Amino acid sequence: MAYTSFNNAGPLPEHTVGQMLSAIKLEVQVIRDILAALGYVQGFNYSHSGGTTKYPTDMLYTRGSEIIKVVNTYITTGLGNYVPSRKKFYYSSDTGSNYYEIRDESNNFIMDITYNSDDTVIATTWGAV
Amino acid sequence: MIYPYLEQVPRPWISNPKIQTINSTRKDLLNLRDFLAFTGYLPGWNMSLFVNTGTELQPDGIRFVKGKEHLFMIITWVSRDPSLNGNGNNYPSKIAYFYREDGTAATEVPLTDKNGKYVVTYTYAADDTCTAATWGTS
Repeated sequence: MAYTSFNNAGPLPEHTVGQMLSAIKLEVQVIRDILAALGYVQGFNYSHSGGTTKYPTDMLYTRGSEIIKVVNTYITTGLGNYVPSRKKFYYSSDTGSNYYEIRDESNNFIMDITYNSDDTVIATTWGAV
Repeated sequence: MIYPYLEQVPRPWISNPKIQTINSTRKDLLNLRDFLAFTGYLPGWNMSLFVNTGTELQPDGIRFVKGKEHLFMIITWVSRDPSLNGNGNNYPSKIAYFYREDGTAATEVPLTDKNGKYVVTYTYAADDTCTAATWGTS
């Protein structure tokens, strides 16, 4: 299975109603999955593995056989704060046997977070690797 | 371009042509996408700051860019004076939301709802607790 990205270009007028509804349904799932990764979709229970409770490596949002996983990387800043520097987003429909990147059409599914010398977040940049 | 705000109609239970209903649903979907992009968590939408009169801690705006599309918010601050405390000083007083389809000013539209509201105004108590967030047209 390949994760279906949000597609600005579709559905198109030449599509059948069925194709349009399928395209819209898939896009709704993209939005649902990202909201679930933020903990805002009802029924997705949060747990974590790796790291610590305060600084988890894997953040897991589980509903039945579905899992949304956020994998965190942390850095220690010049001011000594331990902060997230990278987040990767994944989806599983089979209780974690297989994970797929929650990606856009350019395969971006990794968010890098940039801080200034005051530890203020000044940019986030998406990438595929 | 008219911004595709979340609409009340048409809806499937109204006797509109199916295509019209789907188009309406898709506009609503794009509106949700845009506000999700403002959280910073929608894949591919890179965030950076506008800093003109402000600082990186209290910027003039925040932009999210993906390809040619730009989403950005313009922030007005109650004050940017560290010597002032309480009553919302050093917190945002207004945030206005905009979209540029191809990144140029020519395609800029405010992210309005069906009543033309796209600016949220915050009010604060003496201890800096946010007491209200009110959407308006300016």
